[in-house]
Amino acid sequence: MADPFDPGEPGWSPVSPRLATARLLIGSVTTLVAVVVVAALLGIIAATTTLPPWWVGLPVVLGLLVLGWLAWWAPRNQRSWGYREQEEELVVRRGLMFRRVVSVPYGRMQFVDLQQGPLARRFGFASLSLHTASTKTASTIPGVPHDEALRLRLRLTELGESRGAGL
Amino acid sequence: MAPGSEVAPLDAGRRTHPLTSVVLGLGWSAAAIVGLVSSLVQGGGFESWGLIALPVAAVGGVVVGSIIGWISWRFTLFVINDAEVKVDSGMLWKKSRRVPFERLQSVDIHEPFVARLFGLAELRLDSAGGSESRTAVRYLRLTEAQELRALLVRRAHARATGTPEESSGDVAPPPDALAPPLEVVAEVPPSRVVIGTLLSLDLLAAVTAAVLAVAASIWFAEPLAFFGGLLGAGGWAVQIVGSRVLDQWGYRLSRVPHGLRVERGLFTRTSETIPFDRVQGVAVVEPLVWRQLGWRQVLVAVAGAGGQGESGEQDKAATVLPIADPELARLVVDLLVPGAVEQLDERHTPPRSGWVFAPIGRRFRWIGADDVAMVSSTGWVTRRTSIVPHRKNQSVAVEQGPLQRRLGVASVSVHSPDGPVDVAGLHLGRDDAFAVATEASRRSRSR
Repeated sequence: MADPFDPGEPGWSPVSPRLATARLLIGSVTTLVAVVVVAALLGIIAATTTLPPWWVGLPVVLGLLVLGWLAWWAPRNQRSWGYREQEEELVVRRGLMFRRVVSVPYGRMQFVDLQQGPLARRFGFASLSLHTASTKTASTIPGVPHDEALRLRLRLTELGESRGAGL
Repeated sequence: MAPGSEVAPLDAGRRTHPLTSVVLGLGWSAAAIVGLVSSLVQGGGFESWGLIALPVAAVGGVVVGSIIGWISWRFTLFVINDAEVKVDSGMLWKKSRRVPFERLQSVDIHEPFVARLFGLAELRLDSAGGSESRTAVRYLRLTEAQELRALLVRRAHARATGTPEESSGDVAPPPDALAPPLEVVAEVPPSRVVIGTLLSLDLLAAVTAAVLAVAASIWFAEPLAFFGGLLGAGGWAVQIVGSRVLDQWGYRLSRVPHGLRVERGLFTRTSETIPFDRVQGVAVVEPLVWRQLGWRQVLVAVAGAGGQGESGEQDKAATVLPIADPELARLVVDLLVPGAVEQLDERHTPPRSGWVFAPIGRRFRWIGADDVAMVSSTGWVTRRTSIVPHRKNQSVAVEQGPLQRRLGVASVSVHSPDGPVDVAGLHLGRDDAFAVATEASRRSRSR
């Protein structure tokens, strides 16, 4: 490992770029709904009380800021995720601001979970959780392309069985 | 079926002891009394109706509790066959719990105070896995509980190692299964526990808080604050003393075939087993005052002990030695993690550049590896040395936040099951952190 924190390092399998799209979609819709609700409430209050009407613009500005941050964060975060299958362990990397590299030996994996919500199914990816006897492992890889996720789970389960030492 | 439970064979299902209902009833009664007294105290005055309500609550609790207890006893059946332990219970809502022997992590005997008065005990079966991982069989005669524990432990071990059990086919335990506790490793005298508790910082804080609250209430002439302060802070102090002194009274650590056995408690006694092959890590804790006297505490992380009991109570104590001299502590650490060295020559220490994160604590932090374990130490008030054997190391992570990146440091952590043991090197030099992580991974796979 030359520089495990460097996302540009070769050898890391990326997660699906659609993860960023999906997150952007969910985030935008949530923000939009929140903005509409808050703006409507403020509009009613402004109409009935002495509150100046420009207050309605406040949630809109905040919503735009959130959207801007989301548009900047989602692709960046998606690119920061990566995993690599080494001989004895799976290494998972994430984050640019708060970086984390975790190395999980195949033999220590208790079970591997695959989760897929309706949107993720649409976009064709799933999230893969690795569970060891320690909750601190906390390793969930989001946005793994569907077929790759199935392959990886099968492989991890196989490797886990052949190398498992148990507790 | 006859009420006597002793005659029924184990694999056909057995009842627990008939007195279970009375014990449960007394428990209800005690709860009713405690609830009533606390509501009276909080209500401010002890009025005359309290004198009538108390005996009513006491008797009513026993009667109602006994009836409910009798029903639950009547419908509880436990079965031990070649493959598993099964506990069926419930009249309207049936519940059947099966614990296969290979999932069985430990078998403990718990004697709550009331049950102990009747010579009864609870058998606790812990299996691996989150919540509800404990199955309790309550209550049995103490000797019966001990016999069953011996039997279960033998079967579980035979399952785990694949060796046939010595007396397979025969369901009744051989008469020698109840061998007297083997070699005693340590006995902690109650006086030692009392002195150790009195010299602990949190008790000092609780007593100080109580005194301050009382002094303040007198100064400001607020009688309500007097009781509030006394109840709050005093209650904390009593809880500290209660949980340490009462729980660790008559503390005895002894060796059993595949582990250590801890027996402790003044009113409520428990007898727990720590199997050697389930030990995930060991921590040696030296609080400030104790350190001056050379005393320390040894805690252990055991697989399957992270879960909670059916009633959500605090799980199995992680304490192996509540208070001990360095020599004894070292001996016990060596039993739990053979070959581990508590003090390492080659240590990775945090560099000066990361001082903002822990200006004082930085000097006391280090992490390193010996042949069998990863070891780290931290703390300038309470020092804690954590040891995780390489083969129990679950995963390794290196983390770095924005400020850490600017200062060129990173944190490395070695993951072990949740518990008192936490091996980590916080704010090490960046390359150092990766070196430790690489070494931890390499050593964890080589054995």
